[in-house]
Amino acid sequence: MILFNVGILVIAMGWIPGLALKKASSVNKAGMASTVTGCALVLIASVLGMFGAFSGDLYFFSWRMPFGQALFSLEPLSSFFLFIISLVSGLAAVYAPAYLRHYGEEPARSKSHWFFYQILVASMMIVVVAQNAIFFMLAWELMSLSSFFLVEFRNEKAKVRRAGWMYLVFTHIGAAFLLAMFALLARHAGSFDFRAFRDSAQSMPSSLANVIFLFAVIGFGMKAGFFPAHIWLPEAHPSAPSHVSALMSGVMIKTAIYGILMVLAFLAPISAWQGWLLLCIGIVSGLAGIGMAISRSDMKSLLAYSSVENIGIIAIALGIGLLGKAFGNNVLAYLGFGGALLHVLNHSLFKSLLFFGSGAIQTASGTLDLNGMGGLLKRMPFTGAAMLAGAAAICGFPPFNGFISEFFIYSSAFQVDFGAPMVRELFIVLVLGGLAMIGALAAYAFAKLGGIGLLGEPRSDGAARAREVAPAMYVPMIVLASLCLLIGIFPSTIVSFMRPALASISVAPPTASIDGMMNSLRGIQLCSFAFLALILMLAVARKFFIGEKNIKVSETWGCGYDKPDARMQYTSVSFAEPFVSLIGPLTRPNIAGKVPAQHFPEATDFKVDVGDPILDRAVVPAYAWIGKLFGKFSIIQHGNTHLYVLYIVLALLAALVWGLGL
Amino acid sequence: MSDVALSFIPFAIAIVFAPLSVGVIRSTKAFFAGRKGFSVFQAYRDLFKLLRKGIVYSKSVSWLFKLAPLAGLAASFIACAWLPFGGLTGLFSFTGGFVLIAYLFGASRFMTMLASLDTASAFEGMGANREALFSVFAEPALLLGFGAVIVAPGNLSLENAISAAQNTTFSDYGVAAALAAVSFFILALAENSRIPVDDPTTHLELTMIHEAMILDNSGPDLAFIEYASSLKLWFFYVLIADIVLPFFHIGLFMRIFGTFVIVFSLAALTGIVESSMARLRLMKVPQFIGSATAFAFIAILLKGIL
Repeated sequence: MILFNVGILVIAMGWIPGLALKKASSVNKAGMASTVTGCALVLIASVLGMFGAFSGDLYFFSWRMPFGQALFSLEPLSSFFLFIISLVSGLAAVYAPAYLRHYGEEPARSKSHWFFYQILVASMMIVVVAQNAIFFMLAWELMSLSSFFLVEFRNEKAKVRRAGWMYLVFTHIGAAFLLAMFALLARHAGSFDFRAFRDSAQSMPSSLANVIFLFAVIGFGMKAGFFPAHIWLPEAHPSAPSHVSALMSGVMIKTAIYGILMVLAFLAPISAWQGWLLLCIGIVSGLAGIGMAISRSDMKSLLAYSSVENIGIIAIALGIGLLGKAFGNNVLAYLGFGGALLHVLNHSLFKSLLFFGSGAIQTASGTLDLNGMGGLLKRMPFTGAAMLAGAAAICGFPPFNGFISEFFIYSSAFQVDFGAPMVRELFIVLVLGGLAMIGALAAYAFAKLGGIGLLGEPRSDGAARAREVAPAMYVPMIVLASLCLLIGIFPSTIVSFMRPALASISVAPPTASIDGMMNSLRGIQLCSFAFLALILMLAVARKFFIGEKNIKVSETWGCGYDKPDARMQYTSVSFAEPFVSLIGPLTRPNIAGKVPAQHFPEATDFKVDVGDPILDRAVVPAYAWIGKLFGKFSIIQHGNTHLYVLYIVLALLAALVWGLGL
Repeated sequence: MSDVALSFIPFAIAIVFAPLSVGVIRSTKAFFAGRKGFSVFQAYRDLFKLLRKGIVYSKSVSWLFKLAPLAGLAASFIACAWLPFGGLTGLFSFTGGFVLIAYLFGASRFMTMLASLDTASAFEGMGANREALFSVFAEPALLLGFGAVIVAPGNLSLENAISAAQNTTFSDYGVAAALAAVSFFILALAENSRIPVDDPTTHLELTMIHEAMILDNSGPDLAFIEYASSLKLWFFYVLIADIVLPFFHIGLFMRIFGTFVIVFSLAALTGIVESSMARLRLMKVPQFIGSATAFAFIAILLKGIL
């Protein structure tokens, strides 16, 4: 436990030594050293906590806090999230100094970066261990604000300011729902203490439970990025520095998933509609998120939309888990919640890997536009290979980790008989068909990211000049890629790590079904090894067949045309075109430029801009309307101090009248 | 013979006979075109010829291009080793194995798409994005098709579903099984680049899908790709036989024989389809593959009604 306290203190205070330093690079080193040390300590504590070393113990910081104490505990579920937070934050801190160097050498900027970065890491850690609603909300707000300032790192750009602004608005709409939710819970329980929430869960009327659940889904959904509340992600992630995007997309949005799991413990009986709601939100988020990812050419925007998809997959799994609880089917609950937790871990690994990679490419080639990339695997062998592994993992292909969590969800499809005709069949169709289509769309998006971005010939001078980045940047990527592979080929080990965390959300399936799952995981493991071994054997066989015969190198086949040019390649836009035109009626892409016509076409250019339909056609008009409405009240806001004093007097008088009940 | 040795038999049969199904398709097409055609064993000769050749790599490619054919063949091997054959259980049999097989095929498709983009060729980029788009429709059909087979007896493993089906009559699950079989046949055409989705013998790069992606593969690499695609075709044919045969209530040896009969009849049927219709326009293909999803969908819902 002391490990956790010291670790979090080291992180939260780690920016102080940096203040005294003069050079940006030494500030960066100081920030990295303290973050890595703190994260390592918390990582050890979280591994112990995952196995229940601190279960049932309650700790508190000796702060004076309104409405209770700063209580926290390291239950297995909290520790599971703590493990992810400390792992990715530590790796991101290793990555950061080399990456920040490309943003210039201003010491002031580095100091503010590490201040907000370390506050963000520490507040995320507190969010998942807090045991008091006020303490939780304080940490939650600290997390939102520090990440807002990190997004604003390059605030000289108008686009970045807009992105940060949007994030701030959305995160606070979410926070408002959470405050209301905690207020309702506290009124019922009579205290802001989570223990009191849990103890009074049984006596909660179902109407109140329903309202609280809805508030939790909306409030946490804003942070997680459930469709249609996803629109801040594709704005904020591309604007933030890459390691911050990795941390926000890989880890921070998962605290919202923790929040939903946490609230479930405060609501005693789960109703089926709650499960169906999350399942449907998940499928819609998954399809919409990855569908929009395909049309993106900005690499980080594509990754941000893919986060919406992955949060969707997690929501599908959560929904299945809830259905399991609602119908008292422990196997279904185990597969659902197990798949959700595992996908939280998996997504944090491969998504931060891919964001690190996009940052490496940005520093090496100077662009994030896929249309200007290409040939990077040869120029950046480590970054390229790690990113391809991440792309395969995020599509859920064996032998990587993404497959294991999706396998959990697929396995759940046949586990339940809902006791009504057709419901089981609809459930099967939703889960199998939805997940399969999401998977195929993900393969489309990531074939584009990998194939257009990393392979082929460079499409710009910057990409042609790109060189491998510093080891401090690619080593974290290799670590993450290896973890993706390890989880993929040793799935039963990682699943047994999760067992205490699952038990703590009272998911206790019969041993036989756990054994059945373990048996399947061993089968997957065997097949993965067979797959890798066969590839190796075939490589040897190919060497044997070629023998002494020459391997020739020649131009790519171009119908006999032997002067191929990098401009002949498919671009990001053309690769996405069939899909974009297929879903055109939904997204209404904005196409500018002339299509070449006649026999001797003139020089022309062509631009396709696929906006976000939710942002462009719902949110922007809605906010414009709200702005117009409240603009009418500007009459009473005229800058005349005397009249403002009069308002105060009138308000006080009104309060007095109301208070006295006159 | 021990169980382990027995479970190698489906794999051995697939390795030996898979190219023959391609030969049967070609002979059928030759018959309908009024040509004499090659011998049915020409597919084997082609493979051996390619294995003896050297390799020409494009200047643009990286290691990924060299890895893709190996991964594709490895995935096909595992799929054929896993699939039961006429009552014989395959290797790696475990609950939920069909998900792994579907995703292994997906992984091999993903590798092929990446490898084709690695050549920096416009044709291959075109092939890759068509493949990517069509797989968006094929993937749900494949998993729902498996779902339709498994939903009936309510067991997550294909082997158990097959042995459970043996104890039932056609009227119980037969309609669902037949619909699933139709769905898989459509997928067999789509996933193996047959007419009406794709034409493996076309000479015009602009109209190709799968062939466009492998324009720059040669020698043993091309042999691996061709072999992998014949194994994949074999996989779908045997899968259909596995679904249909249990309803006939026949002995083990008759089932093995029956599987062969069904597989080669399906190959002949593919040849007839290829001889009797033209390719669909590209934008019509999603509708065609979508019909496979619809059949699988109906097959699953039928279980709810019956």
